[in-house]
Amino acid sequence: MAAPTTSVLAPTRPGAARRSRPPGYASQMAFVWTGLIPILAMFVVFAFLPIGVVLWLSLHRYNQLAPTAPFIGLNNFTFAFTKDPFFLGALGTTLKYAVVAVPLNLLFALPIALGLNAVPRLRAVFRSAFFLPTVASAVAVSLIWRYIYEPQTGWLNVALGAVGLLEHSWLSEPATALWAVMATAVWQDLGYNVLILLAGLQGIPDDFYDAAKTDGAGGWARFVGITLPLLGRTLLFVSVLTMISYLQQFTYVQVMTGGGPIHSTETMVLYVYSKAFSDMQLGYASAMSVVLMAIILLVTLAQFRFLRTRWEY
Amino acid sequence: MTTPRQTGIGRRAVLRGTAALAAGLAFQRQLAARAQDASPTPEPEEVTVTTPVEGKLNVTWWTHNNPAFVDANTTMIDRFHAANPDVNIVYQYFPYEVFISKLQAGYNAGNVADMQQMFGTWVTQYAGFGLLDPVPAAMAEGYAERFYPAAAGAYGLNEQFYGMPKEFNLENGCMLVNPALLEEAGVTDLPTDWQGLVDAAVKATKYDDQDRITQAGFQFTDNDSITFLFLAMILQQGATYWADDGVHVNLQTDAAKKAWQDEVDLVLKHHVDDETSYGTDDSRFIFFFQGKVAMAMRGPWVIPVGEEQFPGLAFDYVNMPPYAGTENRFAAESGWGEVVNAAAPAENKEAAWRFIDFMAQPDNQRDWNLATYTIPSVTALQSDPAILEAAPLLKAAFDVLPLGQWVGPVQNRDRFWQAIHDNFTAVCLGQVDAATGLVQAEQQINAMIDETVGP
Repeated sequence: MAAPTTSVLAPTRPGAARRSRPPGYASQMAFVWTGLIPILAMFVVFAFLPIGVVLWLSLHRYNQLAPTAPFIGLNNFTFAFTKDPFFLGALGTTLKYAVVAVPLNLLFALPIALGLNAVPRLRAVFRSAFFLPTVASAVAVSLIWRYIYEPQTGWLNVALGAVGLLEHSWLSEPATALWAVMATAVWQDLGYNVLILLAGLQGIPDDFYDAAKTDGAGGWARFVGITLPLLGRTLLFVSVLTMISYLQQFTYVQVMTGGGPIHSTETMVLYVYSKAFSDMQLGYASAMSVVLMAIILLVTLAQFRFLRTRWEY
Repeated sequence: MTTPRQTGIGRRAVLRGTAALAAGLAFQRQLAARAQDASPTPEPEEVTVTTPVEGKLNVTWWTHNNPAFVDANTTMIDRFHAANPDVNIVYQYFPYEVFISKLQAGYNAGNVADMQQMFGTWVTQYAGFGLLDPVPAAMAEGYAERFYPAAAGAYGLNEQFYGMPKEFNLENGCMLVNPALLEEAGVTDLPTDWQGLVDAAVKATKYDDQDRITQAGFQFTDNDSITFLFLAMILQQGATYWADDGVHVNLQTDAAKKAWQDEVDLVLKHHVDDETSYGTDDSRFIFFFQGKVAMAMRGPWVIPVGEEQFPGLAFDYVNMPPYAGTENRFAAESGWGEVVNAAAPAENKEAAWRFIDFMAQPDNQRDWNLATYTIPSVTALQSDPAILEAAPLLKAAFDVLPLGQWVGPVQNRDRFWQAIHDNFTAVCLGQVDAATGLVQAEQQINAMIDETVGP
């Protein structure tokens, strides 16, 4: 290829670039200033700045009512890991919640998405039906499920009793409370992931499946050899977002159990909330938030590392 | 009125409860409709009842939005204005959740009202940070005799008082009784001692085919009552739950161990109540008014709620037999009262204290308590005939008031109560044995105290 006779990339004199701007430069800069800079400013004010404040608070003994906030270094962090009787429990509950609920969600969402993808005629109806719970308020859903789980009059126990199965106090017993909350969250979130996975499935060209069929590949072989690899990016997207969402779980546990019984459903965010706004220990709550933020960052990086796909199509 | 928490369902339930409380009073039916209607309706962020008036000294006052409280407060303002034409009380009220945040943020930012209605347990912390004005010396004279010790305890710090309580927050010493269920169980006379209570409860408890309780003989397994009963059982043995330093708790005394074991036995041995029977709703006293509980340890504030929601149920409110000794000694938290912002202008503070003292005069306090169905905090209204005529069931409550003592510096009320409740539940669920549960409760409470005030 012949070298360009006029280069805008290699100015010969300082200031030459300013005189030879590419076509559309002005409109691009206008977009930057009117479109991108305000958004960046919004991020700075509402995301980066609060993160900075949280980092500052995490190093101080800050009580909303106290006249001073002395610097205490990493004491909040060491207290959390060595003395707080409930921090590690909340951390464990959060991780358990995420580690169980994310695969559980995908375990249901993927077959449903596959099924919807296979029935083009009724797809819109079913898609709407599965997505409907997602648009409901999480508080309302939590309240409804709380009544479903009621030990004496709840529908679940009524149904179990009708078929002779053992009834439970689902939300009042530590052994079952977290599972009951998880089931509610998965039920409501399922539709969102179904929708994303369905979009991913519809993006896979039919040519691959046709070629595989020609080669004699069966349904399972096509799923393992074509669908899963080519759905990899979508699965990564879904799993990362769901994982982040579940690591920040708050609404369901706050409404359904308040973190009980005996702290068995107390997630990190709920614990942070109670420390910050009930105990008025904003500094300590901030330190725990920093720990959670680090965990989310690490988990997300790990997901990108282990779930990344090298397939392109 | 039960103890409000700063977060959680319990707090909201309590507030709704007190709203309906006033509603339940037969002699104030107009309040009933208003309170009942107000509960499910989304509340505005704030409501200004009275606005500043030019030419008068404007003193601002914030309270929560319980309709009965608001009505009673407004009446007090009207009376004070009539007697003090130079002062104008600028009154605003807020929904509970907003009110709590408003107080924290307002004091933090220095733009809080001149005076606020505050729950007693919160007062100590605000006063400890120097945010509240001490009661003027002239009004502080005779303060200890003027108010019940339990009602005023949390308002005191370092030999000064930082507000005046309006109510005695009673959760102890009395119980709801369903005579029909007791009679059906063959219990003809109310129990007069602890063993009698246990025996009656056992007789009145019913189970289903899975051995789950369908009718509780003696309901006490909610967050408040487990702790209040436990502390009362210790006190009635002549012991204390506070350690020698007066800061930490000591739950390893013989009295505490015996009380704990006997309370656990109510669930594990006598099986007269079971927390897992009720789900997660804090308003478990509703089961009593549904006719599913024979006896229930609750404060009198639930009575109008039950009467309003379940009219027609024949029940009584009587004194509980003491667990030990002859006196029904108990620990209580300090309830709602008024405090003054230390940073307010001097003349506003002076007028605010005048208004608070005005409300605490027996004639005004009586009407305020009647309107809110709360127990008076002032000793002058002990067994007040007008209150008893309007609410005869309160007689049992009045009988035990002098036996109450302030619960003490619990520091973080929610976590104190939760530690006892959670470990009690863990024992009942078989997760730990009784001794371990009590040790854990003590450790968790003392860790919380260290965390709050330093070791």
